[in-house]
Amino acid sequence: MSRKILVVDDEPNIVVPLQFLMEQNGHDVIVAQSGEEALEAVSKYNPALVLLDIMLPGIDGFEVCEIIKLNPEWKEIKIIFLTAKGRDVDIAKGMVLGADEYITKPFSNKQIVECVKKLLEE
Amino acid sequence: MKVKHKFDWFIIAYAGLTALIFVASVPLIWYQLSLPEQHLFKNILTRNAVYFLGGGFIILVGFGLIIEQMFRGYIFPIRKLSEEVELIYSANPSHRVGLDGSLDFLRLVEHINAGTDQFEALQNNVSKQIDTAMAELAKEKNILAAMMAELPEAILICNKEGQIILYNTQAKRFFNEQVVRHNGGFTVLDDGSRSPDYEEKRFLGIGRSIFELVDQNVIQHALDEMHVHLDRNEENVISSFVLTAKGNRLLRGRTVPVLTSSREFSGFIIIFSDITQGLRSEARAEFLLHSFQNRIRHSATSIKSAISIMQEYPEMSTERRIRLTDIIKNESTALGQLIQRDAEVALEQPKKEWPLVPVLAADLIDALRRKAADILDVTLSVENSEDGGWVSVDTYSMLLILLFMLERVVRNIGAKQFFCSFSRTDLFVHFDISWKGESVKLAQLREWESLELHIGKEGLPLYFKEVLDYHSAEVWPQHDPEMDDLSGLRLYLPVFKSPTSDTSRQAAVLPDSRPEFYNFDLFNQPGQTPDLDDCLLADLTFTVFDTETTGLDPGGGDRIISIGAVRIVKLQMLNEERFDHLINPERDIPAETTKIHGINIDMVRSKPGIESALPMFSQFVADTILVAHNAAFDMRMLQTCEEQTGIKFSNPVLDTLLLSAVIHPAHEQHNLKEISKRLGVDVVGRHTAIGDATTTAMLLLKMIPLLGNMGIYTLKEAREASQKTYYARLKF
Repeated sequence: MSRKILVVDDEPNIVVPLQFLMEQNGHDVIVAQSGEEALEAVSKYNPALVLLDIMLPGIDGFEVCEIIKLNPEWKEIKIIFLTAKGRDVDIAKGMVLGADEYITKPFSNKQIVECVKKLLEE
Repeated sequence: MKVKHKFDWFIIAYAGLTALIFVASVPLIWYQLSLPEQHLFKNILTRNAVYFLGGGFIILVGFGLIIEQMFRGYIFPIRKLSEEVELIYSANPSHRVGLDGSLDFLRLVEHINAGTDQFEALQNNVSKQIDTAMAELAKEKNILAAMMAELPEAILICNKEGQIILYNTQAKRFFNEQVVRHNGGFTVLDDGSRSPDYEEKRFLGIGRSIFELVDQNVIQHALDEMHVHLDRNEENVISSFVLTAKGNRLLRGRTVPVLTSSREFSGFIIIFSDITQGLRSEARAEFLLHSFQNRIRHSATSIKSAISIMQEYPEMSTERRIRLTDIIKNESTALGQLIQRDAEVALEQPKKEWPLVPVLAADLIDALRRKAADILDVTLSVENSEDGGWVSVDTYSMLLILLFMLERVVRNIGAKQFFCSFSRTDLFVHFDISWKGESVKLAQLREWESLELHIGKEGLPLYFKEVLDYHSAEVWPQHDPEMDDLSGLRLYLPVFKSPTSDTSRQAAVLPDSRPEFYNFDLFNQPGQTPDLDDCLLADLTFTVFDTETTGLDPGGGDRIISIGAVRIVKLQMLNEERFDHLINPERDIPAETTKIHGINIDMVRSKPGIESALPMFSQFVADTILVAHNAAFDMRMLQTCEEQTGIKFSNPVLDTLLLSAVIHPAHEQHNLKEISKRLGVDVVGRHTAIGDATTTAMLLLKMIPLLGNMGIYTLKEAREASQKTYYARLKF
């Protein structure tokens, strides 16, 4: 099942392996490095899932999530937070905004592949 | 009535009475005589009229002279003697009676002076013993003062009305001459007077109110909290808060109640510590720790991901393999540098300076409900909340956070009715505030974060985000999918596991006997705005002042060039709390006046004008009784500045010149020099404003007991007695 996946992170060293991993699993990958770029990409490519970092230049990941989930056209898009912010309160905040999963760095490739697969099958 | 007048009236009455008796006796004798006898009597009288009248006159004059001598020798000096003896026993034991009079009177004076010698010797002996004891006491006080001065914390002890009883050097550094800003121009008050809007300085001092220096709401909140602790008989009665002081210092205040031996609240101690620097390093350490953690997580993710991919896909292209190897190499190098550079600082345990104390979640919400109704006029219903347990907060600033959120929702969304609940997880207590209507967006929350915490008249000069961060708290929009029209905000506060505090303090209980080193009589001071008229002079706070001027004609353009003042609180002159300022009169200073006060135009050219000095003076004298020698002149000088500065002095006024005339009506001289000599006061710095003010203050301290001997105890009695004296009619 090939679906479009948007990877949002400003760290190229994280994006490169992720992009390769998703491509190897048969997905089309679009990359954005800031909150603004992410929203543009959502509007342009309508991805099925977003791998979203929280600490981004400009609009942060929380706000990108809120905007996507409050838009009726986009609310079906699955969102996985991939973040170094591992505090309980950060996870709670992410989930309150409607994120589907919250994975803290460092994560394993297996964990992320399985999570993407599960969400896309729903 | 003056004694001289009494004597004149006595002589007139004496002569009149004698004449009356003589004239009345003539008809009585006449009608008892037979006709021949009457004839004979008439002849004798007619023939010897000259002798009779002459003899009568001589007897009259003789008696008059004898009586006058009696008055001069006994009556006149006795009146003065009474004043002088009172002077010796009440104010100046070195004074000796030096009056003239009859031999008997002089013998009496001799005996009195001999008795006075003995009295003085006895008093000197007692004084010496008192001095020795006082020196011991002073030594102990100095040790205590030195210890207090060395403390890094500022200590303020106040009575229950908030009047300061004791403060230390640090307190002076944090609070004295704190500047409070006002807008420009004037405000017209109800009584028509104008209140100037200016930048004013607040003074720290014994007997002054703590509320002039520190936001009353903050202290009131701490006191309320303290009373709750006391009512519940809790072991830890400390109440903490944070406020800003001079120089943008952030101070942590801890309030401890002082109880009487019967456990009645009689005052409080506030201990302030400067947490500005500590918080800065804490914030820096936390920042480094977070960035350190984030960097490690990023690098670990990249390395872990790259290695897994290389293992899982061994057939990948060389180009991709090199790219992944580069990632591993770069991230490993970055990690090494990060540890080298930041680890030591970042891992340093941050000091927790913000005074977070354990509070029951339910108590916090209850306080919020009351404040929301009072300040914002909104209703807050607390619903089906579970046991929220304890949270770790600075209650005042956390209440402001919650109020600020409500106020923003009221302002932006228009909600008036709120629902509140709280629940608890292992790590956080969630406070949910919800309302019917539009929700708050993240972008709005971001805007709030950079706003200062101000709600109506209450507030702190700290940012919303800053206070949240100090509490490790977060605020987040909350949406319940089952109730579409209900929006909310959730405050995450870290759970406080154990309600015991390491900064626990018990109430200070005063012993039955007086404290050893300090006079804490101010604990028993009546309210802050008592009916001053009925206050005892011994209980009042006085500002004794003097002005030096360019001349003696206030109405003719003479200006103030110096104001000096000292404070007296409960009969104690506070040498530390003085006001001594030169003022630029913006006109010339005549050479003849410079000869008197020694101030020339060069000395005042760079000094502030009256428009800057008078607001400061007005602050210095606030809530005290003004005292000056010949106050009519100084008050008139101040009055001439009213228009220019907009400042009106409406404090009650006492005049030592008039009080002296009340105490010693028989003496004609009441100038500063004469009274000082009479009352045994050493004149300091004559003709400087601060010198004359100090001398006047010492005179006032001598006069208060003398007034008491005359039955004059209260301010009203002193004022009324002053008004009756001759000098009260003196006007400038």
